[in-house]
Amino acid sequence: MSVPEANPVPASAPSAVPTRAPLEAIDRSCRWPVLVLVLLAAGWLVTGGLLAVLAAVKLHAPGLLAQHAWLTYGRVQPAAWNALVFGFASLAGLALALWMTARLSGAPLRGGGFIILGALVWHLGLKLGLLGILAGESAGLEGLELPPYASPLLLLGYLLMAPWALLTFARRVEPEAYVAQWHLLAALLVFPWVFATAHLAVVFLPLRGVLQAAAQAWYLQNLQLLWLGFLGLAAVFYFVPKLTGAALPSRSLALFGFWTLLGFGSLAGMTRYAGGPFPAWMTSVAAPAGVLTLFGVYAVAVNVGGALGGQGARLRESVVLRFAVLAWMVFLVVGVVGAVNSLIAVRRLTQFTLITPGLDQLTLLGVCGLALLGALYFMVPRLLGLPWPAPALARAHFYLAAAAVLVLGGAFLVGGLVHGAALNDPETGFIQVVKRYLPFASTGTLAHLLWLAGAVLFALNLLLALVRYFRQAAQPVLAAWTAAAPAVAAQPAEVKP
Amino acid sequence: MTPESPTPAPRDLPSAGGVNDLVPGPEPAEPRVATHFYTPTWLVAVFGVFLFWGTMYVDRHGGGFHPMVFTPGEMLADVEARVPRSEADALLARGRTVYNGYCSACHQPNGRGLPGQFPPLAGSDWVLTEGPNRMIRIVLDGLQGPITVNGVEFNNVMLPWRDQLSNEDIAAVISFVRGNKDWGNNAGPATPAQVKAIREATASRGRNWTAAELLAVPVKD
Amino acid sequence: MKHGPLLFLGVLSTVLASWLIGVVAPHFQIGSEEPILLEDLGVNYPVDRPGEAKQGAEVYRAQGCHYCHTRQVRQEPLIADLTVTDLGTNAVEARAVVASLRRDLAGVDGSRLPAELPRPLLAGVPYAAAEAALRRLTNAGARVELKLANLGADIARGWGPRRTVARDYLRDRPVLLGQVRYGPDLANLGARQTNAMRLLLKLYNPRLEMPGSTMPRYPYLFEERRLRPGQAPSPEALSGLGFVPPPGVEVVPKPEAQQLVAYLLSLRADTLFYETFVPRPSAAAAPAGVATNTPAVPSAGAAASPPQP
Repeated sequence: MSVPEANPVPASAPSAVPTRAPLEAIDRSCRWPVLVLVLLAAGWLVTGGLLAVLAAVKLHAPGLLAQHAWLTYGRVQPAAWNALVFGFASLAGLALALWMTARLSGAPLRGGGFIILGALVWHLGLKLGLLGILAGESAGLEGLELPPYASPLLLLGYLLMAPWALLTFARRVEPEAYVAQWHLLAALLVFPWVFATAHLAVVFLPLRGVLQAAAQAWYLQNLQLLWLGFLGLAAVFYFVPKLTGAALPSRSLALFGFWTLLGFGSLAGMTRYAGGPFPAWMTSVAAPAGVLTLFGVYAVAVNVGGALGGQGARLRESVVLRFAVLAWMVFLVVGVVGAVNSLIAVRRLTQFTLITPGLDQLTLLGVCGLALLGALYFMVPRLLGLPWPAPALARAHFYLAAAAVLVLGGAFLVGGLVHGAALNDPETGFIQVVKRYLPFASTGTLAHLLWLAGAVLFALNLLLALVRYFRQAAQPVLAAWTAAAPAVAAQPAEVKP
Repeated sequence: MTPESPTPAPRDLPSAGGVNDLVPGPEPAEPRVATHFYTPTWLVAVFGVFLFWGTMYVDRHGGGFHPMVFTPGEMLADVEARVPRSEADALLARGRTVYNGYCSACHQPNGRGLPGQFPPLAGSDWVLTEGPNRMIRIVLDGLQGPITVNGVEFNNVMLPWRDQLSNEDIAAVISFVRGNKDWGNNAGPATPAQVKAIREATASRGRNWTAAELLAVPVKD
Repeated sequence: MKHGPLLFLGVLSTVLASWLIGVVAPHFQIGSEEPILLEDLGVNYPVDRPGEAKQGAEVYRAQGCHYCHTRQVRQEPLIADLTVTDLGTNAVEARAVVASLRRDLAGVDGSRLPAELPRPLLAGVPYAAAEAALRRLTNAGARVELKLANLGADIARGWGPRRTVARDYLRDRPVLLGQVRYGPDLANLGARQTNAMRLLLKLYNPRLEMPGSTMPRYPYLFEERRLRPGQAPSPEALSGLGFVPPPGVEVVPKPEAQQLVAYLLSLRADTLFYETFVPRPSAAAAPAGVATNTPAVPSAGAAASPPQP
């Protein structure tokens, strides 16, 4: 007589190979940590967008709100940059990194509590930092403005959040990592080191003289390419092949491109100070490094282009794919223009012109911003288990964001050439130079307004989704309360959220 | 690893007019990367060419990695060429003054002398000898009679300067003449001690030298 | 080697390499620069700013002036033109030198020189080469003219007599070089502007000094004080450039404004020393009997009087 075994033999022999967890389980494990990050990022997106509009307006309307010290251009501009980089891009990027690593590794995300704590610590630090910047306590150098009481909080928050991605990666199912994972890992490893070292070298234990600026140039380049750029590329490499269903054509080309971008891109920082008070060799080493990043750009172009071939219909259908593809195109443009702009001869024309803020903003908003927004539009429904309440707003957001990036890029890149030509002509008095570049710089206001409008739509959509989620989650509880009150004798129905 | 086709057919997706990505539910498979082609050889070759160009670029613009060269495209020599000549070498400065005051009237400010009259000092085979012994004697006691300088014969009288110039002055002017790079001279200097020794050795001479006598004197000890 | 550690090591070593090349190597080269004693001027350069100017540097940083203004002057590699105006008495010698500098003139008939000499003899050559040619021609007895062909647009605009170098910023903390020129360069503002009241007025309302300027106003650096009827405005009250305060009120700069102006007036980078010398091009003549071996550039004493911008 067979009796059900007390210890039934397991269906499969216990093996060391972990099995891939189902996507829903992974998404569920990511839900609250990643959503907290997304919420904070959305808030900073709107705040940063607002500050950026204000800064852009003040470039051509200097008398506006001039009585308020905290709104002067020299404080609002860095506040906007920090809000968008450390508020929106970094938090959304961390959200993406955590979620995507869990998905690609096939293992659920652990450490949710620490991640939420880390996000809140980061958020607090950034808020303090921004208030400090607006109060005039900025540490000075562009990109390193966070006051000394704020930056350690960001680092602490980061250290609470990022290791969980690495731990999840360590528990991955397949030993070989996907292309997007390489970029995420590089970004996650580079950021704390670059952030901490630069702040130490410039704010806490400052190097002597212009070496501070050299450290700052190194930091800005690594932050823009290896943190913002790589986060954006990770999103592109994940979503484009996934949503088109086509694989990236060449792994070895992706490898070649990854190491080229990483190796040469990180060396190209000093082009920012071409012609400046530095020994000539520093710029001369950075310039060819900048040009050599073209090979990484080429690899990205061919690989992602190969996955996109003939997918026009899919593009028309999918908002997320559109965000990712536009981010990819902006990356190519920024890559080529940036590489050409590294040459010392070209910098003779473009140094100190609109091209520098133009390329910086294109990287931040165009490459990183667009890619992360597309990723967020994909992630949030799967985390909440609900569709977006207003998909039309999502489509409108794409057009607004695309318009913002195109207007910004066109105006600042072309305006930079005009600005440079005027600066290089000693006969042109400086007020004439201002008149030449002002129309292009003023267009930035329009671009930032478009970006802000899109951001508001996103935040609105997110809030509606959360309201719907909580209402749905609360329904059974409410039903239980309302059912229990009148019917004392009736059995309370089993509630299952 | 077998190369896969780069563009397999897209999965069947529940098409909902453009919003399927914004709705949780069945989604396409996780992305893949194929090995449809490897990094092409031509790309690696071009990369190598660019690397080479990069090293040439650094060579041309890097100023030799010197911390005092700030303008890309310059070398340390360019920076130094602009530094005003500070007459750091007192001996040379003194020699220049002595030359301008005593010698330039005949040997000319540019050291080239006057053809047919006064022999040149710039590039002269009598100046650019291994040691200054003959020159010191000429300055101390003068020279007369025919002398062949760089293959050209001169026949004139040079006055002695034994009583007018001190040992230091003679050493200075001889060092200046022998080492004047503007004239193309790059011979070693003379020291006051050398002049003193020769002055004492020839104290009883009292008359001009001739070329033949000088040629019998070794140029250096 | 497993995938993860390989990636980690690769990323670590590339970013470490960029840190070593970009920051550590320069630190070894110029990180221990100290202010140098310039004997001719008797100062340690760079000069420490007076107290009010040091506080002004903090005000400069707090207002974010460096987001519109740079503090760096660029310079091109010096290029010069050399023209021979007179072959001098030793025409044979001079022609020989000319022939060695320009092979294409080697066979030119002597009687047609110097009228046939191209103007300039050497065009667009590096300054060091032009200067060496000048010496040789001078020693050959010719009259030559050396002209600098370029110093760069920054210097031509009058933003400084020379480029800025690392030593100029040794005492600055933080070093706010600036990255965009929405406004003019400020490296030598203290050399261009000496009028504190003018700068104060510009801070209060830049449109007073330059109509059409897009520089922001800083009225919060000033305060308005009521004037009693018949009371004259105090000496530090703003006046000039057509500025008319509201009736019965005087506008007085706050200490921050005074400190900022003190800092702006202290901004100079025009002292000449080893790596920053800019030659004063001059004609060098060599008639016989005059010492021709004095250098064509000013001697060390000229460091005491930097050339006019």
